[in-house]
Amino acid sequence: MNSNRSIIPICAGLALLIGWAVAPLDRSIAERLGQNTEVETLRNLDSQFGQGLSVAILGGYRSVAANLVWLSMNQNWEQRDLAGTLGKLVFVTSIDPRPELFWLNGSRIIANDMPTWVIGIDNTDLHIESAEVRAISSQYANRALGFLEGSRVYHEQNPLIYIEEAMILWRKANDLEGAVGRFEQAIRAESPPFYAYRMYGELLVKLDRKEKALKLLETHYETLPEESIEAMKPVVADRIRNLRRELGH
Amino acid sequence: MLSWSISRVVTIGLNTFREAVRMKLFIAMTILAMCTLASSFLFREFNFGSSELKFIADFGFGGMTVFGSALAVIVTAQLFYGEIEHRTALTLLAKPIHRSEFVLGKFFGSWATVTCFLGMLSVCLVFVLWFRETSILEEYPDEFEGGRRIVQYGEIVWFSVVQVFRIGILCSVVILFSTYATSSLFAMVMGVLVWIVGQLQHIAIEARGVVDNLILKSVYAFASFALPNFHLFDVGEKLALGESLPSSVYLKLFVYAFLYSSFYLAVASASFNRREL
Repeated sequence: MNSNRSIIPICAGLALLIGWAVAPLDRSIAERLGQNTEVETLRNLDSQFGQGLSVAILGGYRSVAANLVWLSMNQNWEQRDLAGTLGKLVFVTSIDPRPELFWLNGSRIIANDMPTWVIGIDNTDLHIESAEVRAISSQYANRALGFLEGSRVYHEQNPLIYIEEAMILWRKANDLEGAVGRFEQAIRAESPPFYAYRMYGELLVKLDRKEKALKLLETHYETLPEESIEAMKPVVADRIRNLRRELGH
Repeated sequence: MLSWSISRVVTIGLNTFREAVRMKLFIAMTILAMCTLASSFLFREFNFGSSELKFIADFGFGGMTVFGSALAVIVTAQLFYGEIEHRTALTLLAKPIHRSEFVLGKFFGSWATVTCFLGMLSVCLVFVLWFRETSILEEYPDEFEGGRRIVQYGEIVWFSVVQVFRIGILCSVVILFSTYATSSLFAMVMGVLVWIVGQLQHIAIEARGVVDNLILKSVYAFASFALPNFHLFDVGEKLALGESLPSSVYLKLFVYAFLYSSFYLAVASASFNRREL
């Protein structure tokens, strides 16, 4: 039936030859697409989702695998399962650390939702006077900050991560100086959003550094585009006017 | 002596395409893949806001590669080996047709079928994303800077084009195995194996540089050089994160796919020429 068995070694040899010839092309594409982290990702994972997940990650379905774990985490979140949610948050960012949404939403869950689960009430702000509530809130704020620390490798210059850290330090850990530092990093990062300056200005006013806040907003105002709604130019102008009035300029 | 003719290749290709789109399997796979894409509407239950669009894009891209590759293997093996199995190839090759024309015609027919399938899925994915983006834009306008849409629909088209390149290699590999196989199952199994090994090939590339054992090194070198790296075509992860790729990457992927497909088809033609039918 077949008289072409002799072709196999020739075929294998030619296959090797073409593989060798296209290897530089292969390397250059893989480098541009950043496809050299899957094996490293796998080393950082535990095996709670089985071997299927490993194959999915290595086979190029890392995003899909991470999304599935995120959906599974959502169920734990709905049931207020603290350990399960925390475990899967770490897991999902280990599988795919590239999307910022996993880091941002994850840190919000840790800093905002988890303290309420521990305390057993829905609004910690109503009980903010309690030392116990403050301690729990601070503990989870630190956990959230530790979680965000893991994003540095992939999001070193992402202003959104710095803003998130600043907000946690400000609102949850009550570390206003720490928040100032993070806002500074956020506005120095690449393309910070307009609201970063407004929030930073608000924090400086709260710290009674109105001169600095005024200078920040005035410098920022010069760079704001007229046509952008997000820039909120009239709001910034209003704040500058108020600060000038308060400072007697 | 009979001269080689592109028109005969086109005729065989068109007939193969017509035969393929009438296959129940093709229709079933298309419906199944579209249902999978439509099921991504369920993500709205989670209230992810604009992040839901990334989830839909990821699932859409994943579905296109998995279903597209599966269809490429099955359809190509069925259409090529089926002709040999049912002896219809004998009738056809009794006419003045080169065997290489038959091989190429079958390849183009199968490739066009899967391209058509990917095209339909792309349209479906664009529709799902557009529909959800419009709804989310109304629900959470703050998440869209200046009210502008965030999905780059052009990138979805580029993703589909890259998958067409990948499918070209896979179809040519299955054709090669079909010219040698003694059953369509063998061609299919080998096609699936090449698909899996090709998808995981970057591990062999990495392992080659790490191990010291010469035998192991040779095995990894063989695996990394002898088979195409399908993982290179997984550009969806980048595109779903909102990144655009330079045209040079698409060009390189095209060259890569062209070289491998041409090689496999040349070997397939040589193998089929030597085959006793």
